[in-house]
Amino acid sequence: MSNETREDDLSIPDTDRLFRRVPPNQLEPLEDGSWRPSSSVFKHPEMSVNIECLMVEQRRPPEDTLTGYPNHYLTSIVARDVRAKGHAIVKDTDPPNDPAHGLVLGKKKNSFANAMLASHQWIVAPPRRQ
Amino acid sequence: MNALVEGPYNYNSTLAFAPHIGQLLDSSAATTPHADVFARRERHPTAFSLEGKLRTVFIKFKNRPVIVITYPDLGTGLPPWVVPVLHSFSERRGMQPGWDSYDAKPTESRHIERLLTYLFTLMVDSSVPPIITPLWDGGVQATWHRNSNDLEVVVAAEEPAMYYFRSATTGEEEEEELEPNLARVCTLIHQF
Repeated sequence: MSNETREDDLSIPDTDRLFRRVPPNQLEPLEDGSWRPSSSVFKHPEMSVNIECLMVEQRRPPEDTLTGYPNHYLTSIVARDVRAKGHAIVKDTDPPNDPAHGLVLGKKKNSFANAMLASHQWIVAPPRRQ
Repeated sequence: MNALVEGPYNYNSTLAFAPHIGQLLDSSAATTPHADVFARRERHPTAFSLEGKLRTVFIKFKNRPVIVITYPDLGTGLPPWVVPVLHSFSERRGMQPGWDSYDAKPTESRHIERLLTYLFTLMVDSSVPPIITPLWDGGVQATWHRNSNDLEVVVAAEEPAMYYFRSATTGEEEEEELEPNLARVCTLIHQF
């Protein structure tokens, strides 16, 4: 079944956060010394995330998404914001995937990626520049 | 627009490219104060008509492969924005499969060449250099961000180049193919 036809999994609450790792080469410096993710973080047509409700069920903190990736940072977007732009969210937990793994499906417009950038919230933020 | 890749230099992660013609290269003095430019050679253009010469410059950043850039030089040297952009490419390109911890492909030199060719067309000496960021598919994008305004030139692997602009003041958004809108993007770049 193609991703375009996979249905949105409504068992994932609208209020759930979706966690995504950000590598150092997809950070952009801001004028105030902080960093933001590049919009390029949010452009994959099958964008991998960890789903908050699954992590809660598994008694894992969001930061567990970074296990094994010590040089990466962690951001979050909200399921409601993703759905508002017409993208489905599905669980994708079959081994060897992370048991909280999910996908945000569909070709992403640059406007989608920038909307996610505008609303993202750091879970593990990069240290501020001196 | 096509970039000309210099074959002998395009090995072992060495980047070679030749931005195309039709540039809006400014005629003011250009310098490369923080570039380690260690060799130059000149030649007459062969592939297309140019008023100036094609100049090849070899640039080395610390612990990085040599970058070879061939560009049409009107006698003023490299535009000032070039070295910061090359440094950004050099530091930030995706090197290995999965560099994003997911399934990203390594950044391909041909897409860097495409983006640089566009930048030579779009930018003047006084232009602010963009941040370069790799895309998951082997492509690259250039981003300007200032006062909450955003401009992106996006060169994805399997798609025509796009631009995206958002004004924080008006909330206005533009997302279009780049090539039919080069003049518009030139104007937007000057806002940063």
